[in-house]
Amino acid sequence: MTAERSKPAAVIIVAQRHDPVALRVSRALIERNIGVEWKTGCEAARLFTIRIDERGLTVSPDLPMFVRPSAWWAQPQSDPDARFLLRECHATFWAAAALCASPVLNRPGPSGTVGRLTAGALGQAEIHAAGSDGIEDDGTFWIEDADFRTGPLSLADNSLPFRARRVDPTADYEIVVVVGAQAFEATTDPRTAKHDLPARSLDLARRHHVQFAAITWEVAPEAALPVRLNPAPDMNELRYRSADVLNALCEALLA
Amino acid sequence: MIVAIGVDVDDTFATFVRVAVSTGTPIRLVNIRAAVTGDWRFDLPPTDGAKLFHADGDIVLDPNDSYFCRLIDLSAASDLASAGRWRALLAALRAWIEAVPGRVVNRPLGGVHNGSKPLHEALLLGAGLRVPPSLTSSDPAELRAFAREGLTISKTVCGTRAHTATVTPDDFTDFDPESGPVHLQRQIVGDDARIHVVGEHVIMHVALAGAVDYRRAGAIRTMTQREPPAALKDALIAATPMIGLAFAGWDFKIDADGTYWCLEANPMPGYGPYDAICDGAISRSLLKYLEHAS
Repeated sequence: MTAERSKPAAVIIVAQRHDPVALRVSRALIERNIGVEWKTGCEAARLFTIRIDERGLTVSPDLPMFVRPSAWWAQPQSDPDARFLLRECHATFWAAAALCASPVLNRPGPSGTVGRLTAGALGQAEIHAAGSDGIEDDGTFWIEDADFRTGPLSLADNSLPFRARRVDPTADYEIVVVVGAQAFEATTDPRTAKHDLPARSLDLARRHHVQFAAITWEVAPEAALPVRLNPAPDMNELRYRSADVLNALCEALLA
Repeated sequence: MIVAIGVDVDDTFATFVRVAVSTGTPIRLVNIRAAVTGDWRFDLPPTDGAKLFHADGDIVLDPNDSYFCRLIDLSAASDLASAGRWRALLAALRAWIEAVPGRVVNRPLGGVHNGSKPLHEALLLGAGLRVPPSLTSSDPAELRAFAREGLTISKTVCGTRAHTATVTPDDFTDFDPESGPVHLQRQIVGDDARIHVVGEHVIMHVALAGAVDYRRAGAIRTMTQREPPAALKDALIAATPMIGLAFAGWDFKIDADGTYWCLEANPMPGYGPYDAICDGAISRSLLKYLEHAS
């Protein structure tokens, strides 16, 4: 992979080349005259040298990184050695991204990379069950079963475990994108304004150790509940405020 | 109440249960291999009890109890239908156990950084422990230079159990970076120590020097129990929760000067063989730790 411009790379984009969000970030950086270098996950892992000795810890090169899950999307490996090497690359990149001094979005922590968090992980009531006996079907439950089918509770059959939560069919939804200390609401709908979603979104992102995420809120007149935190937002979630979000991402990477 | 959740074919789980029974400690058991065949319900947040219904009997888990967990995933050894049930039940158990307020030994997310050795070693360094110098790289020049600086061993980056081998600079003469990354560590020659820490309880076993990896050399059986230095004991009692664990199996090398070099902290250690040497002392420490909360 080579730098997009003649300038030495200043930001590494760790993603598949066709990742739409990564493409937009790359373009935004280049428009700011910042060099960009693209790497897949394994390519990025092989870039780094991590040394630990009596002087402490060094990661080189130490460059800002924008990281997407697509970096690791590869053809399934049937060869055990190839699968092992993939794990070695992942473990190395995890350490480099966690330990380097430069900005990383999203920076993995000691527990790894935060994945998509749904209602239960965000503090909302959720049921994990096998067999729907004992769950009163009042028409408000929505499930996802072990085959990833979603639908009302009546969809559950006794052979497949599922997760369920109550859904308010009359609720509205709002998306708030968080970048560092900034939060961008998708809409200016007055029905969501009273719920202080930007501040609550920043708090949620901080508690879950993510610096860049799209948080979806279920909004009713009396309350707004977080139902999804996506640390790898797609363009559908960003498009409402894409200019502001891209600006904030560039600022965060170049801080 | 202490609740033990694991699989009956896991020796370490069986060891814990056996010692609990022999000491007359009240304990409830969940055998995941049986539970996966039945029904279950876990409500999050865990304000109410979780329920498991299967042929061995119905169980209600109280979120305020203490938990000893060894959540081992046997889905890969199951047929397709059962594999889905294994994954779903383990996902439910992990989410519920992570959220319960009481004492838990072997929390699902505890110590996962052991799956990236350079990250793990950095955390150990940050916890104030002495760690052998190491290098993780795909650069042949860097790897050769490190190997030239002293006795060197090669380990996996991701922590997959493999033969730990000594390496020389010549091993990297024709090294292809596409074969990397590689994790090298300075070899410490000396005795091996395994120190199990749970709460304030610290139990050390030492194997005399002779192997790069004493576990593969079958030396566990020859280990002797010893008292660790007081300063190290205090350091490990503080470091264990600092790295996110309630219970850890710490591996050290003791060099000729008597310096303890920390190799790793094993989360969810398979402590059974060590427990056999000290007549169940590790299991009894675990039970005391969990009973204290109950």
